[in-house]
Amino acid sequence: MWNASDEALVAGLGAGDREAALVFIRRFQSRVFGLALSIVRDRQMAEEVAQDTFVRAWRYAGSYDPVRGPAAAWLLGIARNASLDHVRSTARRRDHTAFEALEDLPDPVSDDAEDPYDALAPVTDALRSLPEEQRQVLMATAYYGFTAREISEAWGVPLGTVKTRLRLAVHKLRDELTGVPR
Amino acid sequence: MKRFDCAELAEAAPELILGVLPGDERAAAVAHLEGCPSCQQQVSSLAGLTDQLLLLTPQAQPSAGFEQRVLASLEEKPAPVVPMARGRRHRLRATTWAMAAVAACLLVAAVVLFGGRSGSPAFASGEMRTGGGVVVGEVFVQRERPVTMMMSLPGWTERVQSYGQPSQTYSVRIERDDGPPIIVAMTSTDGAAWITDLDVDPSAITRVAIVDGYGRTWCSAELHASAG
Repeated sequence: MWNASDEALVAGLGAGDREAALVFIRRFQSRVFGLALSIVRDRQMAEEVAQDTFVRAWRYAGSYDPVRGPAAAWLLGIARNASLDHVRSTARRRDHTAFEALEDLPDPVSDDAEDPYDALAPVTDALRSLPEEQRQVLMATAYYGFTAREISEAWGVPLGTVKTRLRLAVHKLRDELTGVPR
Repeated sequence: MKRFDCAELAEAAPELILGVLPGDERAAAVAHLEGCPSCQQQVSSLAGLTDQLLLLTPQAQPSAGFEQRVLASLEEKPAPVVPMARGRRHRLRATTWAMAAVAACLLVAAVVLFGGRSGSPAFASGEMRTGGGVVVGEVFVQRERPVTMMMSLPGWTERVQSYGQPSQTYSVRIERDDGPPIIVAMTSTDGAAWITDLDVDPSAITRVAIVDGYGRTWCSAELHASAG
């Protein structure tokens, strides 16, 4: 059980297996909590969100489709949505400005040598290769769920400029990862 | 409704794949994509970036006892019936319909064979559920001798196979209120249906469960008297 793949554990969740749930929680709690903490910026709230994330995963494990992506990404997508729901429901969004969120965004590089997601190093490199203004817009949308319009208003940057930065960032990231020559 | 051309779709695509495009624009984008293979290809090439970005998330440890608190909250919120993974749906559709037909036939057979008498209900039935509350089948137990138990498990094979233990052996545990549980070897786990005779007082049966070789319960049903 402890060596089961992420996908097998999700299948276990779908079957209502609590041992699978325990292994799943242990395997992902630091990632889920880390993401929640990055977004809600409060340890107690982040724990509530992380708990809610695992409850949602338990409830919706049957809808997970391995074809659409790895189980970890599926779970972190749930964590992101749960975090954003929480931020919105507590009306902290206005105080939780994009500037504030982005200025001390932790460097998304794992120091864990045993990390099973070392294969993501190229993504990190590609992210770091982006111009700062493009990287910030991408972070604000991908992690914090801000729309281009919200970023425009928060930063006082024209909407068209924000959209252009986001488009350039996404395309450059894709090209870096797929080896498309520029 | 707002309509997008290809240029507008290209501008909206990053927000679309990152899941932050406002509702009206998302509807316009989706409507455009339905009829534009070229834009579909563009968006497909970007899909997956969000997943990869989320996997870069910095890690942090929650407080001690977190996992136990989560497990406790799972106890309070059992999982509902959920759809099967999309990748399996096509392969299983015919089988699922066949299993549903088997279940329906079993129900009809139960009513015909055991029903129609006055007085107490002729058979008891219950939904077989996993610990998370997912329904994987049904069980019927005749209330009069000779006692016959019928089980329809359309979701069983899927559960076992996806869990990765197809070679596991399973038994049926029959719990009753007039004695210790009875364990019956499960001679078929192909998911279609399983019928066996029981030498027990049928009115004493309260619960039927499928357990694996380690004694873990995979699914169970509380029996309720059904109309005869």
